Amino acid sequence: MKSMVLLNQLTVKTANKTLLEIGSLEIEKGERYTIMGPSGAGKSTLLKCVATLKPYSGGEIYLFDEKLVNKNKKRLRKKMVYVAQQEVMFNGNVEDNVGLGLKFRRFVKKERQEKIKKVLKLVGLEGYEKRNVESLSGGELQRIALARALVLEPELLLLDEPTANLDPFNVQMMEQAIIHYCQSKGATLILATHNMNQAKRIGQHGLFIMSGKVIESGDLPNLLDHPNTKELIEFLEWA
Amino acid sequence: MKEWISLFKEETILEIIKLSLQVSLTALIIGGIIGILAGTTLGIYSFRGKKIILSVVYTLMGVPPVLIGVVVYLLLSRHGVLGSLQLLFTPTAMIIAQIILVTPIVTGLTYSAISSNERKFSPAALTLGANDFQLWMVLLRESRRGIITACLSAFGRAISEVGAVMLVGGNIEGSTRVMTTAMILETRQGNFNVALALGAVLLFISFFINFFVLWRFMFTKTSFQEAIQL
Repeated sequence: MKSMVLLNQLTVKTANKTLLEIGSLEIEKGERYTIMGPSGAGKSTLLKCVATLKPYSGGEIYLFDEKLVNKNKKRLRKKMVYVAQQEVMFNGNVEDNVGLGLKFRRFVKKERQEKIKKVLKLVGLEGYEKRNVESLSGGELQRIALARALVLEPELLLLDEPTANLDPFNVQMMEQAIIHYCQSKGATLILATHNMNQAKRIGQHGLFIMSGKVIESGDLPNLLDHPNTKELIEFLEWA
Repeated sequence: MKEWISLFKEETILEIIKLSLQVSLTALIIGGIIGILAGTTLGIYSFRGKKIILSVVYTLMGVPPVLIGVVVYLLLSRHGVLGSLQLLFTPTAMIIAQIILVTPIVTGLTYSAISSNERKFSPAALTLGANDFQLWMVLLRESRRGIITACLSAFGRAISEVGAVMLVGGNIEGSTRVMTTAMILETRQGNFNVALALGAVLLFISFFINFFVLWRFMFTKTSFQEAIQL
């Protein structure tokens, strides 16, 4: 396999605005890649396009060495999971939520329960199976959303600001779980974040975007320690 | 009161109540299934002509039942397109009229419930690998309160409706007489007690069904209630 994700001249436009313009981006298997930038830079748009949840106006997306077209969308979607910034919870308890994707994949109840137990342990929520999601805190809900994604063992994990607004304890729990999962399964990660320290802690490579355009990209932490562009320098000063 | 109680010992009154429920519940089941499928389709998919279809659906939600009665009457009358089926003045004709009455209500309200949840739940369900059918099931489950409200509204409209069933049913004793048409007849004959008793039964049935469904599926503690509790 050459690359996990390959973007070529990708553009996303609305009637009067260009939301995203990526010339070329290649992410290899097993890489932990971070998309950095301020709010409204286009990070979520980029992730949603890769997750096949948002249409794009021009260019090409290759996933798992296959060009993304309408025909293979559903099949490719099964190899990856996207976790939104404010992930929604479905009606029911933790087990119902974490096991939903497994149910879609027709895992039997016993198998589902075993996997759910394991993944809840990974995100530090052991024994939460029967808890109603309405009774959980914001941090716990984000960890449940992560568990719901990890339990499917995706080859490609797309996380959109997964720890925004969380306390340091929850941030640490989430980061440990993400890194552990990627290392143990050899999974590829694309993480969108505006937290530069988090980008350094999790990412190996990254790019910085602003107003939908790539400003700078490279290896981490070098990219953030030695920025070359005015925009990134200014952003780091603010961050 | 004694008069009222003795009324219900009469077999004809019980038959009228039974037929009312049969006609309205059958119409609700058939119209409900069509309406839920149509409303969900409109809520999930975007296609050409959707706005026009929705405008028609919302218009039909307020259509006078008597107009539906006239249309069904013309279709089923001897010289009508479906005249050969000989359904006029039968309970089936009444069910057809009521299906036409309830389907837009269920469709419109289901659409409203599904479309308000679609943007919220679809991306999460799709990224977890839901196929089209599974996505439908998730959205129906998450929108169930709205859909239950749709069905309750439709049932209320059907059971209390008089114009259409009078026209296509003919209010024939022992065959097509339902509670609402019987009430009109009894009022015209000056039997106000019977008319009122039937009205009370109608209200009681409606109350019982609504209370049961609301109690079983809808009641939860509100955030406001939680906020004011010490």
